[in-house]
Amino acid sequence: MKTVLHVEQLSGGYSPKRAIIHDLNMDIKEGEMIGLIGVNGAGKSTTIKHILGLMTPHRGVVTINGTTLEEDVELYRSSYTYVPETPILFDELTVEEHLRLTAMAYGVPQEQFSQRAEQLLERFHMTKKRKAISAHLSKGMKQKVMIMSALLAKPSLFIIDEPFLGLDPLGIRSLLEDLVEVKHAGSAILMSSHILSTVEHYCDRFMMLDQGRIVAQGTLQDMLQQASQHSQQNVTTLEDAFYAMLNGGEA
Amino acid sequence: MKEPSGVIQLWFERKQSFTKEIIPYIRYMMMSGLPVFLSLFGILFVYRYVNLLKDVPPQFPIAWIGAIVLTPLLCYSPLRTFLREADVIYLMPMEHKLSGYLKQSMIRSLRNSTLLLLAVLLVFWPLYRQGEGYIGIWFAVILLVLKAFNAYSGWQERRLIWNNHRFIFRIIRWLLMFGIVLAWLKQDSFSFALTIVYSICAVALLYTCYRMMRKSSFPWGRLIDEEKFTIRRLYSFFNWFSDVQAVPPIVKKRYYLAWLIRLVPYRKASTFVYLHLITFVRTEIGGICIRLVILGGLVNYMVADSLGLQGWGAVLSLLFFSMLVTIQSGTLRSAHRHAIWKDIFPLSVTLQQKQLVHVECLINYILIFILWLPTFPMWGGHAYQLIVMLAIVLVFPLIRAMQLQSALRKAEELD
Repeated sequence: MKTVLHVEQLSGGYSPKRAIIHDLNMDIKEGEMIGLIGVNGAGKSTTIKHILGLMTPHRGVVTINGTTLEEDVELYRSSYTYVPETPILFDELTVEEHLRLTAMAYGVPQEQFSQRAEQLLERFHMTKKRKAISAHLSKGMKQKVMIMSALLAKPSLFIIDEPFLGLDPLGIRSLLEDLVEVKHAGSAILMSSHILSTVEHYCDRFMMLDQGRIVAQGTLQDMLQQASQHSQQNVTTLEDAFYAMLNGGEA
Repeated sequence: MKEPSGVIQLWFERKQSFTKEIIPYIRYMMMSGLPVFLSLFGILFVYRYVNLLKDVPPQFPIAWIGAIVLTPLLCYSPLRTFLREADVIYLMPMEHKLSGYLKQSMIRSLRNSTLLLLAVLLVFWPLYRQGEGYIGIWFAVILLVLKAFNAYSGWQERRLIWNNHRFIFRIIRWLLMFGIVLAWLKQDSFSFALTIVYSICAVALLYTCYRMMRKSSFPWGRLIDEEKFTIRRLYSFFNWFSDVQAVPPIVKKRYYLAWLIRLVPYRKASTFVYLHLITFVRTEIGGICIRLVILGGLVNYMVADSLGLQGWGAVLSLLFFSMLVTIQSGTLRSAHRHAIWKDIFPLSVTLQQKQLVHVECLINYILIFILWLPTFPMWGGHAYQLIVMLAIVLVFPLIRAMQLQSALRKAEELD
């Protein structure tokens, strides 16, 4: 299967003198969902910002579909959509206008936009709020707008940072169903989350970050095995594996 | 917990810190040349007003003009409380001790709005003296009593639980006050006794209604919102003159301009045109432009109609208001300057800049064209003046577009 995201020896941070992430390597292939996990400050968001091209790496290479940001900015950016940890909306736009703006930016054909926007609004229970101005939406609704906009563009890579914050159970279910759908359609997904009990059922592989370095990675089985060896206990869930790897070996 | 004297000190500290915060922006405003333009305008107004006073036409609607000018000043009592969102956590527990704090705000509000009312009344007085219903100083006394009542009413309306109740009460109060002012200014049509009875009844009716409605003891949410609204408005004004800290925009739907948004074609090359046009229509950027165009249109009409400076007055006025509206529309360029989506959306910087220049130029063309329309009284003659005005309409937006393009290029080089 084709590699969508390729990260090689990536190091970087906010200051040129102090790296926050160190020598990260990762590959995400078509149809794969990867869970990026780690404690607060482990470097998850910094890693994501480097992949998005919002931060310049100290060294290393990031390619999406074989292209670096420097080679072709438009092609690189059209290959992904991003859902930030905190919804960042334009206050003056309505829900519908946000969807339209994103679709225009990503060059989604108009007919496809109209059809897909209707489906998403219905799926995320936002049909009645389509004309509502973003400034007047609740945090959860704002998050839904972010997610709908990302799903609308249908790129080859979805980068999603803490998507479940503020979402109601129906919203979480809709998001996960849609992610599975786009995954089956061949898109790759990089998702950072703290809700380990949920992501362990949906992600194909995991990467555990600690102090800017990958400390464990692989499928759920690989993670459980590594954690069991590390703690010398029988680890059965991702949450236990997380504790075992990052809590001094205690599951 | 702060004692009552502590809360008064807190009020003064906040007022002082607010003053300190805005002083640099006032300085930028003073250096911008706006005060000079406003002074020129003031001189022009005084000149016209003095001419009018020398020979007031017999049917001149003094009472109506008085009521239109004085009623807003009588009814509008903005309240600066300097409250912040965090106060809901830190000050709310001592709500019962906040009367001293609030009293300071009310005194300031009443003092400032009364002084403004008196200043305008003073300007209006020579015209009022020539009106039918002149009752001397008593009119000023009545206005002062009504002003105090309106300040009280404004506070009672802020305390009303439901927004729609507040809105309805405010409209009723403004209409009743307009009626009272008009009645006092038109003494020949209304009998003196009838005017007194009407005034007392209107005030009593409002007072009784306020007493009967459900109210909150301290309208935290409303006062904080009002404070935020005032700050946003102030900063969007200062944004004309310098780069002001990011303040979340005031958003209004403005349905009457929604058709403009619908005109933007659905295509990638129009993404930022779409975004910026919505920003213009729904935020204070457009709000201020609309008010400036209305004011400028009125002034342009008056100047063109009177053929001031042999028609060149209208040219200067058009140029002045074109500058003002383009300065205001120019703030659009910084509306989304720090938006993350600029660096996420697959649109090249060149395309983004091109779209921004395009939308700003289009807006300027529309605004300046509307400003020019009311100069129609002088279109029949004065060919030179007309040519210069048309040149302003056609060339000014292009000059602004070139300036914007160069500014964007410089900013990109700095990045």
